[in-house]
Amino acid sequence: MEFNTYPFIALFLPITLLVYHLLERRRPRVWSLMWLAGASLFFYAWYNPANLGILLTSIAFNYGLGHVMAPGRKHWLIVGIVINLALLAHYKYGHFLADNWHLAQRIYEQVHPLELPLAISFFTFQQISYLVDRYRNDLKQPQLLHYSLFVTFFPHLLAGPIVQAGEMVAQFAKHHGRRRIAKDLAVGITLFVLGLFKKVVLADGVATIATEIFSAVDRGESVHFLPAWCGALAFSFEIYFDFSGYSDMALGLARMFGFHLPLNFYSPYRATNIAEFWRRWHMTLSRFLRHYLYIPLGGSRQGIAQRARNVMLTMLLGGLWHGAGWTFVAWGGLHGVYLLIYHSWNSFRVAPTRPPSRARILGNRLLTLLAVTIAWVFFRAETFAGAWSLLASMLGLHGVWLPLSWQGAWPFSHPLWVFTASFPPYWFGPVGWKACVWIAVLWVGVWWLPNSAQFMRHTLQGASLPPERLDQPGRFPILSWRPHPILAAGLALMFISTFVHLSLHKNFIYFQF
Amino acid sequence: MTEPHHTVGRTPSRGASRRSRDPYRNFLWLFAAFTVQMALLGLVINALYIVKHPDVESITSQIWRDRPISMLLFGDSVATSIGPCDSGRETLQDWVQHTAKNHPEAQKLAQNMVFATSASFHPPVYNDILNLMLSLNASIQTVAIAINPRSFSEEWYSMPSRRNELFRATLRVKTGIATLLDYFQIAKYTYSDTLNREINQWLGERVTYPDHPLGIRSQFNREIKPDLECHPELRDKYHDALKTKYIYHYMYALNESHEVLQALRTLMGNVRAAGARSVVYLTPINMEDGVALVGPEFKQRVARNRAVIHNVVAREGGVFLDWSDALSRDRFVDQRLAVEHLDNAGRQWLGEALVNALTAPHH
Repeated sequence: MEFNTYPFIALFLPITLLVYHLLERRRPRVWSLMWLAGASLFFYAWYNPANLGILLTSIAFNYGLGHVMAPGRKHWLIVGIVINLALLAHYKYGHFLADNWHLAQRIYEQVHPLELPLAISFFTFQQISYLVDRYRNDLKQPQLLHYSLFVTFFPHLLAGPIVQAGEMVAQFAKHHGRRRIAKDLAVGITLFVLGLFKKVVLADGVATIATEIFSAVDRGESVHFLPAWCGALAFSFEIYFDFSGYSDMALGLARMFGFHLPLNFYSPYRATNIAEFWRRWHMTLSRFLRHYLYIPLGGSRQGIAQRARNVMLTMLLGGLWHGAGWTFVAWGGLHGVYLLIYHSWNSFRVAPTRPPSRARILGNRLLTLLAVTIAWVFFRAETFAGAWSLLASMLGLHGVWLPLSWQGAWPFSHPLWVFTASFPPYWFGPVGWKACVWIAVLWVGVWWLPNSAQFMRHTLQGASLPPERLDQPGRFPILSWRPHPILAAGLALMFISTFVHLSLHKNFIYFQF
Repeated sequence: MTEPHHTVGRTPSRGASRRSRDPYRNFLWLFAAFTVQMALLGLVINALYIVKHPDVESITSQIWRDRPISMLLFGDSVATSIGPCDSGRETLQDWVQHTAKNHPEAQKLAQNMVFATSASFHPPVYNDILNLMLSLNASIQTVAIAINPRSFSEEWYSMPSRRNELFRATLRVKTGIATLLDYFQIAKYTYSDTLNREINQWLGERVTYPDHPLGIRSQFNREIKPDLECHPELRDKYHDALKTKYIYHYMYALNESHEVLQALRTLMGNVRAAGARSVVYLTPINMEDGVALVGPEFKQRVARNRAVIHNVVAREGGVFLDWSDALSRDRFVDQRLAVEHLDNAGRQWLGEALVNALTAPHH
């Protein structure tokens, strides 16, 4: 049951919400939390009830370990991390390791992957963070119900945000009172509908362009310059709106129940450098990798070489976390290289005394987005051959269509320059010019319209608020949410126009991780 | 001394006052109200302006209030050109009109004909169309009802797509006799994959015919490769698959309680009540191939089923024309489907036979 399906929206969510708030009013809090935990387990079991055993065992094991964990008892921490990672490796990376071992041994036998328990990457990381927090004594041992809900709470269970026990358990322990229900519902529904629209209309809409181009290159076909860029950018915007939509929906769903999840996405394509990109993209994964991998490895405190090693290791593992495949490793590695280049550049250049000009900011944004788009090619392509082929096309190595009138005037003579009278239709190849206009419109929106957190800024609280260094308050005074009839009508229109398209739903990209 | 209380009307309760002041609560109510209104408005706009159904367009373009109709001709896929190897694209309607124009007795008939034909029409759909015309006060003289013997096979009448729900709901909406349910129905079939899901479920079910335990639909009803399409001489290559299809399409055991036959009775009753006469004709089937593939029992079973239909039509006071064995195997196209689709010459023959029969003095 995904968020963008009829059973979820028409049945699961209204029933869970109604019973939760009724229990919250009339019974001690433990009842409503138990209902929520039960509903979350049902939500998880909907896909494959057999996986429920793995989830419950993992919860019981980690909770028990957290109970005996105390500062200084490092062996328990090591046992916990090893067993959690072993579980993840068994299900997610077992066939990958076996395949590569076979390849190294020249054994031509493919190992079929095990069925991946849904969300295993997310609940494993969350529970590792819990163990580390317990070991560092940053967290008191929570009640079992609160802990279970911290892991299973359905808005974040399947694809994040990767929450920390401390930020959720405190909320579970605190009673909301009646007064905020209407506000929480209004804000939550708005965020949910915004997210649903981003996913169903924007992400799924642009996905068809990306699929066409990436399928072609994975089949071994070559595409020309502009269609290649359209395809690569289409995927950049597909994953952007897919993940942004999912994150909004998760925050909105949690808010309907009165909880605040941490912000997970904050206009990453507006980043002016790659480090900033990672502060805006999948913010809770970046936080996890920084706190529980990069800093324990030594971070940036032990010299340039150590820092480079730590950055590369963190990014390679981050890539591998996304999927058991060398293309994901390449994607992570490429981002590692980007970060090294950025840090080197920063250490050599003279710090600017004046704030950067608009043109410079725009140039930096463009450069960052292009670098990210190139890296997405490895992320999306099924094979390295497909990825290289598309990158070659993006460099113009598979030809560029040119207008016939340029034939005489064009100084170069090369078989790659294809002259045609039917300039505009051919120019954009199989995806067509409308697709490229659609991408351009999305690009403008991504750069210049307020994001959900900015739009809803006055209603967000706690961890849901954007970090101060990225926040740009006051830039969009008109486009800011308030409980106004016009916004209610706009939201209803957005909801209806999205709802009718739900039958064609596609999975969220991050669900597979 | 205290001031006396002066109360005009009802004082709002504290709860009501709090509700009206809470902007978030108001926002939620407005959102819910707008959503419901927009959903209903969307259903109507979708049904009236967005959904275009070619069969509905074809029928609504031919009828209007108080139209005198000399002949209402119902038909299914036999009336149209479907196969890629067809020798011509004229429809049964074209051949009927062409023949009627050159036929002294039929010229009057040709002036006010209405054709309600489409690939998967059958008596329940005919009934809807007739009711629509009667609701528009049309005066009808003759109703020619094409009955395709395959339409009684469970392959036809039980298949979800052949219930024609989208067509029937759209027809009612476009002619102003719809209920709210029709608007939902149209949205459901336009925006969801309900039909595909139903067909997949249907394909997974088991079918048993008397003396022929056919098995699961998706397995025995598999597609025969298109090479047979234009090369009937390849039929031996697909002997077993074709034989199964012929059994499945024509060797059902028909009885009078069959729902398609019941719909035919209702239709004929409605025709009679409207003061018109019914002419029911059985469209040709590929008897030669059926016998060659299945054996003589094919012909016997078809004859038994035909007798049941004949009895019902006779009891309802209609004219029954049996052309089930009228054409040779060469007149049939779409061999790989093992169906009754005719080539252009076959449709010409049928058109001429129909006009001749309708103008014959004893009818």
